[in-house]
Amino acid sequence: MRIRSSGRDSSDLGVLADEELMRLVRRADSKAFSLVYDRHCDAAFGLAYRMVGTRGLAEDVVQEAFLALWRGAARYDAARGSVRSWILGIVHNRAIDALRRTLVHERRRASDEGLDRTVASAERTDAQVISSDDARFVRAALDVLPPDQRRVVELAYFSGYTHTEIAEAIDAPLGTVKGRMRLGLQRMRHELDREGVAP
Amino acid sequence: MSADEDRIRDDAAAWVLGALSEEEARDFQRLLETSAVARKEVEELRPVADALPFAVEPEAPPAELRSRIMAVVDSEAQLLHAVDPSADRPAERRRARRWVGLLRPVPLAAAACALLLAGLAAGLLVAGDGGEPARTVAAQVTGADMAGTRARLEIDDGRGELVVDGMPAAGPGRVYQVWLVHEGETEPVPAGSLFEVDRSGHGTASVTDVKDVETVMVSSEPDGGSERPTTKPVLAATLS
Repeated sequence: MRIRSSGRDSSDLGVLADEELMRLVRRADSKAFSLVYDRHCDAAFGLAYRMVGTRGLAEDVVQEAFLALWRGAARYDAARGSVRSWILGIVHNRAIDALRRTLVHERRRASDEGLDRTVASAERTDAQVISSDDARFVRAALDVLPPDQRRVVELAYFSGYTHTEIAEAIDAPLGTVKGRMRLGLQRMRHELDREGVAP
Repeated sequence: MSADEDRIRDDAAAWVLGALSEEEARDFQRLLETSAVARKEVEELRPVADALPFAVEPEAPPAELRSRIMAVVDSEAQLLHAVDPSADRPAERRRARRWVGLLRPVPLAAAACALLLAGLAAGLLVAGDGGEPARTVAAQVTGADMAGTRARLEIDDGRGELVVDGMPAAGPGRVYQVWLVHEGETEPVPAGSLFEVDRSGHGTASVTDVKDVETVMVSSEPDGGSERPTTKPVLAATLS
């Protein structure tokens, strides 16, 4: 059986923008999908690994996320953001599901593997440098937060804890935790606006 | 700013970070429909939460992961194009068969997909007593989280009996509902049959009339059923 696709090979498709590739993915073009994967798998895996803390589970998360993209490509709306943002949103949701499903929180606490993924690596490939400016500004905006605000933001977003769990973990009142989240996000918003980053 | 507004703004921050419990998140979602303060705060903070994943250093996944994903994608592309040859045409030309797009199977090895496709194309003829021979049609498992589910539609004398095994429970407050798509139609209609599965995942549902039916589908619906599917089908059997 022959797979019917765009009829172009991957090198032809390589000139297309992400949004154009997604139009082909909607029509079940597996070559277009493979290019979307190649462009964004590093960012997706980095996020998944940062969140779930083990490479094996991160692979499962990335696999689930990209298959969800393949099967749900019609839900992508270019007006609501970039393909990369959409993919990372799916990865984030799947990682949260995985964390809550497998109770991996305990395992993560026992292992430092993957906890410091926001620290810059010594070597990076060209593909990874593409969004380095925006990424650097986001990291910088996170860095300027007071430690107590940064901690609750990271525990919530990257580790998937609820505000109740965070309050218990850091022994602080619920209102304080949510207040720190808000102040942290507001400060980041200010920093990103100042740098002209349009998140 | 009132204490209530302060609380709403705090909840908005927790909501965009995904830090509310499921029940709290549902409450906040309802609040968004009525509270301008909540909407404004979410509008302000949501982009920051959306930017957070960009703070993480990219990391190359192992090459085997790409191979695993592409094996699934290629096999599903084959299946989809075989079921719906117009799959690689522009969407506007596919309106008449838009439900076909919902019938994508869960990940299966390429070989398993090929076998499944063969089963779908041929059906399994069994002994009958004159007229249309009785036959059994294997159903595609199209839903996520349905690993281990097997389903078949046994057709005899114009009536069908859907038999499922190894199927997960529909969950609290939910039930499985059977739908029919008739030849030449695009929208599924209720078959008038709801079912649940026992602890082993076994369940059955009757379809009283399969005449002119092209596809029999099953979706998870709220207790009592729905007038039209509210979730993607988890099973689908193609009869013609």
